[in-house]
Amino acid sequence: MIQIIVNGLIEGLAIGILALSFGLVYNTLRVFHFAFGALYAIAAYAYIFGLGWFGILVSILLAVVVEALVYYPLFQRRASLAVSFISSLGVYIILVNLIALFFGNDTKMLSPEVRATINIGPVILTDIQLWLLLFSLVVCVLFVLLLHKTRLGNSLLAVGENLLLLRALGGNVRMLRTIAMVIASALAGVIAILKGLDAGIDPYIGMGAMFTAAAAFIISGGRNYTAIILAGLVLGLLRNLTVWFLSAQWMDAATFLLLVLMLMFRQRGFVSNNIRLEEQ
Amino acid sequence: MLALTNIGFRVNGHAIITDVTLTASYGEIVALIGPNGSGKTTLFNVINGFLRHTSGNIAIAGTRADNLTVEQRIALGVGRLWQDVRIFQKMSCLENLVVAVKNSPGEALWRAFVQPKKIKLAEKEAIDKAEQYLKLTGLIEKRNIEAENLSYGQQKLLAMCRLFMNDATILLLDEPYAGVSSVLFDRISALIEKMRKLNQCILIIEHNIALVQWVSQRMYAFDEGRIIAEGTPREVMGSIEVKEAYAGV
Amino acid sequence: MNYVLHLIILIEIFAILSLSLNLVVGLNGFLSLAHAAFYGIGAYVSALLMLAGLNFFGALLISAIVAAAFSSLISIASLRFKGDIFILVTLAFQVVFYSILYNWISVTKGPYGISGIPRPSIFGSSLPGLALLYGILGGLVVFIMIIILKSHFALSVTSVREDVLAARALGKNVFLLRAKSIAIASAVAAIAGSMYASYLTFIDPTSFTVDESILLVSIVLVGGTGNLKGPIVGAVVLILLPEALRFLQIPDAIGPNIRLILYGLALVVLMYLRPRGIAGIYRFE
Repeated sequence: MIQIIVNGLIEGLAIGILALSFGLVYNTLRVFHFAFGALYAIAAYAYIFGLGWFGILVSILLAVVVEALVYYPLFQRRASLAVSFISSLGVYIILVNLIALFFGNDTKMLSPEVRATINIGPVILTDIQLWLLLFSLVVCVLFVLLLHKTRLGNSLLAVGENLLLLRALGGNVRMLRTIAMVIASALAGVIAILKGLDAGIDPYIGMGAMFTAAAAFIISGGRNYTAIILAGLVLGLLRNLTVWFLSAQWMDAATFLLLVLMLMFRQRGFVSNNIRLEEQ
Repeated sequence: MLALTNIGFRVNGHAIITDVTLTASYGEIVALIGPNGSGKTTLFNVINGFLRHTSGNIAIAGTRADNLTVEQRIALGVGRLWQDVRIFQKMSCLENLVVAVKNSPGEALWRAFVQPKKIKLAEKEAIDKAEQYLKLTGLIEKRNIEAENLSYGQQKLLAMCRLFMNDATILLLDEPYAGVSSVLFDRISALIEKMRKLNQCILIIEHNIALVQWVSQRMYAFDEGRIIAEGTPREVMGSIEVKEAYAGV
Repeated sequence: MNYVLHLIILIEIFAILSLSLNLVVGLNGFLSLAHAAFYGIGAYVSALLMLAGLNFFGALLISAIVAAAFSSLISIASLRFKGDIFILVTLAFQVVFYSILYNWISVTKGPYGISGIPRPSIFGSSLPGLALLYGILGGLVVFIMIIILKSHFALSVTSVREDVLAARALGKNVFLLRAKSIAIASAVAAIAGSMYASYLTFIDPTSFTVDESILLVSIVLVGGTGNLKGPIVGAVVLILLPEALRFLQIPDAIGPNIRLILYGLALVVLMYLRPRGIAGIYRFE
C-alpha cells in the first residue's frame, strides 16, 4: 500500500509539472493549449529518433512556431476562448497525425532493458521515478520562487492578469507569451521523455497527459501555482489508488469524475454571491 | 406597480445598497439619479431578481416577490433595458423582436409538430407586431439585418421595442439616453411616452439630470447606496442634500 | 455498386449525426466532447435490445429515450454555468462512458464487442434495402430539423446563446431551453448509433472514443453549423474525402492519417479565415 502511495506521489509531482506548464500557457496566453498533447509526444519521439535529450528543442521550436502562426494572430484578433481552443485542437490533430505518418501508430519502447531499481524501506523505486522525483521537486520549488521573485516571473504573471497595465508599462507581450510557451514545452518535454523511457511511446500519449494536466489545473482553481502542484499530487494519488482498487482502465474516468465534482461544488458557492452578472 | 421596503444588499461585507424604500405606480415615470457607483444599477438587478437582496422586501404588481425567480418576475411584467443594451447580435432585427414574445405557443416544441396551424398564426401575429415597431422606430429597412450591424442608438431602440413585444408593464430603463445621438433622442422619448400612455410603471436611471427632470413625475436621488432625497423633480433638485452630494458631479 | 451503397449508407448515418450535433454547437453555441458517447449509447442499447428480440424500430426508439435521459445528467451538472464548464463535463461523460463500455464486460462484452446484430428487414436486409430505409430515416430527421430550426423554441435557444442575461430578462427559462435541445441532439445521435450498429452488425468500444467525439465536432465545424446545409456538407466531406484521397493515389495505409491532417488544417485555417465553415451560418468568434 505504501508503494501505491509513493508511486502516486511521484506521479502526482509529474502531473503537477505538466499542470504548471499547461497552466502557464493558459494564464499567460489565455489559450486552452490542446496542442500541448502533441508537443509532449514530439519531445519523446525526437528523443528516440536520434536527438536524445535535444529532442526537447524540437518541441520548444514547434511551440514557438505555433505561437507565432496560430495563437498570436488569434490574440491580435481578440478571438474567443472557443476559437483558440478549436485552432489548438486543429494543431494537435495535424501534429499527432504527422507523427503517426512518419513513425507509425505502434508503441515504441525507448529503452529495451528493464529499469534499474533501488529499495528504500518497503518501497521499490525505479531510477526513472527517482529522476522524476528529483526533477519535479527542483522545478516546483524553482518555478514558484522564480515566478514570484524575479522580474521575468512577475511579468509573466502580469500578462495574464493585467494585460493593459503591462502594455502601458512597456512590457513586451509577444516576447513574454513566447517565453511562457518555451518554458512550458521544455518542462513538458522532460516529463514526456522520462515517462516515455518508462512506458514506451505512441503518437497518442500526449492527449491523456494533457487532459490530466488540464484537470489538475482546473481543479486547483488555476491561479495559485502551489495549488496547481497540490492538485497534481491529489490526482496522482487518485489515479494510482484507482489502479489498485479497480483497474487501470478507470484511471481517466476517476480523474474526470473528480473534476466534475470539483466544478459543481465550487461553482455553486460562487455564482450567487457574484455581483458581476456579466460573467454569467 | 412596484414597492420596495427597506431593501439592503450586501456582498463580502460591503453594503452596496442600504435601506432603500421606493414605490412606483402604473402610469408613473420615476427617475433614479445619482453618481456612478451609487447602487442604482445594482438595485435594478435586485428588482429583476438577478441578485438576492439581503434585507427588506419587494412587492411586484401587488405580489410579494422576495423569493421569486427572475422568470417568475418577468411573468409579473418586469422588463429591463440594459445599460449595455444587450440585443442579440447575430439575430436579425425582426428576430430580436419576435423572440421577445412571452409565452409564445411555439416555445413548446411539440406544438410545432402537432398544431402547425396554431403556430403559424401566432408567428404571423408576432411578425406583424414586430414590423409595426420596426416601422415606428425607423428600423423597418433593417428587419433582416443582423442586429450587430446597427448603430448603438439603433440597438437601444431595438432593445426598447423588445420590451413592448414582451408585454412588460413594469419597466426598468437603465440610462436609455446614454450614448445616443441627438437624432435618435426624440425616438427614445417617443417610446417612453408610448409606455406611459400604455399606463406602464416606469423607472429610469439617468445621468442626464437636466433631461430626466422634465420626463419624470417623481425622483429619487441616490448616493453611496442610500436614498438622500425624494419627491418631485423640483423638490429633489432643490434639496440641500442633493446639492451637497452632487457638487462637482 | 455495393461500395457506392456503402458510402451512401455511411453518409446517411453521419448526416444524421451531424444534424444532431448541430443542435448543440450551432444552436446553443457549445462544444460537446460527448457526442460519440450518445452515438455509442444508441448503438449499444439498440444492439442489446435487438439481440434480446426487439425489432429495429422499437430498439431505435428506446435507445433514443435512454440517450436523452443521460443527457440530462450532463445538463444538470453543467448548464447553470458557462460553456467552458460544459465542454469539461461532456469530456468527463465521454471518458466515463468509454470506461464503462470497456470494463462492463458482462453486458457490453468489453473490447470483444457485440456481434450478430440483426438488420431491419422492412425493405430487405441487404444493402439496397438498408440504403433506402436509412435514406427515409435521414429524410425524416431532416424534416424534423427543419421544423425545429424554424420554431420559436429554436429562436429562444439562439437568444440564450447570444446573451444569457438578456434572454433571462425576457423570461426565457435558460436551463430548460438548453436541456431540451441537448436532449433532442442526444436522442438523434442515438438513432444514428442504432443505424450504425445494424449496418455493421458488429460494434466495439473503439468507435465511441474521445477521438471520435473530436472527429464529430471537427466535421461539424468544417461543414458549418447553424443551418441544415452545413452539417450535411460536413458529413459528405467526411465520407467522400478518403475517396478523393484514394483517387489521388494516396495509399490506404496512410489515408486516415492524411484525412485527419487535412481536418486539422481545415480547423486552423477556418477559425482564422472563415469561422462559419464551408456552408454554415453560425460563427464562433
